[in-house]
Amino acid sequence: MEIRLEIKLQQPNPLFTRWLERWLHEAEQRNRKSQHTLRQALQALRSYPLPLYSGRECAVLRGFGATLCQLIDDELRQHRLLASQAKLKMTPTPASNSTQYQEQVQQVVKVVQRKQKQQQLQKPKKLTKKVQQELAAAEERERAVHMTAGSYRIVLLVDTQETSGKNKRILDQTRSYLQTLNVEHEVRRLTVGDFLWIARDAAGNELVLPYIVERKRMDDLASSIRDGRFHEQKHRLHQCGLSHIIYLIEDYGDNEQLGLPLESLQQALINARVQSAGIQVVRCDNHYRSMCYLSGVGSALQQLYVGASRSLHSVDKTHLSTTHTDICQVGLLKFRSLYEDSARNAQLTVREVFVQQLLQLHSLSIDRALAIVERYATPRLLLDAYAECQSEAEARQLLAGLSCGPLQRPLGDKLSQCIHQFYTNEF
Amino acid sequence: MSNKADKLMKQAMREQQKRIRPGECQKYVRLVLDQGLLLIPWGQELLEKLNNTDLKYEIRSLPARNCIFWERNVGQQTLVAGVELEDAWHMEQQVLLVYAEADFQRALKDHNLGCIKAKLQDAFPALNCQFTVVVPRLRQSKHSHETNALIELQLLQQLHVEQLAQPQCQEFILLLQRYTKAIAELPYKQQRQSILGSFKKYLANDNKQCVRVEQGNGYGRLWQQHLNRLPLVTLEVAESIISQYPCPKRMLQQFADDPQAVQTLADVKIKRSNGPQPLQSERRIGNVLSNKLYTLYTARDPNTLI
Repeated sequence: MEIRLEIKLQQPNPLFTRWLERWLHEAEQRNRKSQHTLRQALQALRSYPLPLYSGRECAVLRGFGATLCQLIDDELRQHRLLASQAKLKMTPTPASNSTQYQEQVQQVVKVVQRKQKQQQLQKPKKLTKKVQQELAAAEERERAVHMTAGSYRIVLLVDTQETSGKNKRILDQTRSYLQTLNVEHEVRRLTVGDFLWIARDAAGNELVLPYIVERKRMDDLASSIRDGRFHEQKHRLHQCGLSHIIYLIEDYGDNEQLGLPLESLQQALINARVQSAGIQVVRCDNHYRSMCYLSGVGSALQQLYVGASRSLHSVDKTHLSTTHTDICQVGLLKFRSLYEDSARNAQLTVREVFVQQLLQLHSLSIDRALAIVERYATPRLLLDAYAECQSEAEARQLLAGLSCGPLQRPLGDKLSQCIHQFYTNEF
Repeated sequence: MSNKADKLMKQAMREQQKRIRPGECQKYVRLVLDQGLLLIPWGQELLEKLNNTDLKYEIRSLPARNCIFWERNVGQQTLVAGVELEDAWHMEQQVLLVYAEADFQRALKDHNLGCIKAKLQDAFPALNCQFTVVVPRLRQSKHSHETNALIELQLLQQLHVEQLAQPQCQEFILLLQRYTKAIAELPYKQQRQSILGSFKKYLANDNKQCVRVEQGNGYGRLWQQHLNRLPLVTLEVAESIISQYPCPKRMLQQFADDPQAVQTLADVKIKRSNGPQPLQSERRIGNVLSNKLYTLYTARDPNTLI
């Protein structure tokens, strides 16, 4: 780190100062008129921080007229003469002053540097704002949170991206409806779902109630089914740890011109209801009625938690119970845990990436990929196994006999060879 | 002997797989209706319409009035009355409770809806039964008594609610068809779900660009796809890596032989990025990605995070 040093000489012009003092003293003793100007000049010289190397340079200062500067120059000439005659290098002369000055400056710099090093070792480093924030976050993750009945409020969280057709207008409409309905809500970025409810206490701790809402207009539903997002979203909703998933489905006008036959959409909704545990499907006529529904759910939750005097505490995702029992102590996820855990680019395991890589090969189905990973869970383990084979033929057939899928079909020679070639050949 | 057992086992599995296949599976599922349903205003109409569909059904006296559930023929047989062999039917988890208009209005007025769940659970004590209440469609208005009652049914009692538009009987038939299809396909979906559900990331969407490898061609493209599976790898990054390591073997060798391999990889320059830019630091692969690749190809613990 760079530091600016300001070096001030204690006595920048000791020689000239001394002479002036002498002359002033003489003038005072003889009560000459010149003492006044001399006094002024001396004061000016004393306050001047830079070294001066001749009488003429002194002219910049106050009180130094032509005569005084001449006097100084004469004195200087004499002084130099004396110095060269006496060969005394000890007396400070302006000529050597400059080099000495430089040396002295260097010395000071060295001293300061040494001092600085010492200081750094002793004083603890001041944390940057980013590091401070990280520490605060880590502390929050570790902290066990308890909220007794009555110490928390229930707040609806609205996702900032809660839009339909990528239109901010929809978010504004949502907010205005919720305000009309007097629903206490907050807009925030959510990594999963469109609406959540949290219990917040005075200290700012936030626990998530086990209900998550995914709002879809019928045209959104159709487009998400067509490009495959629907199943991925369902998967992520199941993985997030909140046991009650509500699909809030809103009609789009007459539900015609949706991109898919209406019957397919109806079947998809029933499938979601029947085939996935924990999903409820609720139908509403329009945006306003959807918000009324959310308002109603909010009131019901108020009754269910605050009205029933339930106290809450934070739990890990692995310790969440999925059954809805009427217990007085409810274990809930922290909002931060849910947010970080459900983010789309949360960390993957080696196993997951390996499976994804294997799936890139045509005709290698998920059943087959899983059979391989079951036996050789990472690429390294597979390569180790290849290395241990006695012959190349053995290595080529290593995977051929693996049984895949519910019918236990063998992986086959072709795929086994293909994978072996991919990892062991040069191309 | 074990060979024969194996064979039988395999045969049984194949049978089972056929039965649960979408398209076939609906033949093995039937409805069971409570006879009380014949007495509701559109009960007779319901029966007529049912007969016009492909749905198989039976009418019995059920432990709870106006209920409907499903049974599946799993291919087993039971001995009946010690004399005959009959197909065994297993009950499925879904149970519907149907409310006609008048009954529903009365229940609302008398605040009787609160004990529905308890009654149903008494009648059908099987674990994990999922109950659905079918009611006529309400006029949705803000905070009305009826809408709140339905919300309470959903949240407080964990019941699903289906609202029938007019004409109720027609809509109900459609509902039954959809439910039957969903229930029939349930085992197949559950099989798939048990595979995909163990992974945090949804894996079934990825194979739109899978690579055909024929007679040694296509491995290069496959290698590129492999690299693309990592979130940080863009097209340019992948191409730069490939220019240095055209096959996985080279990269693996580097990792094995060279102690500085990670640093070497991190320093590989990214080519063809849009010319010299203010953000000079992005022209290398970088330490983060290099470490991820190193972890991916050297870790022996499958749960290591990348």
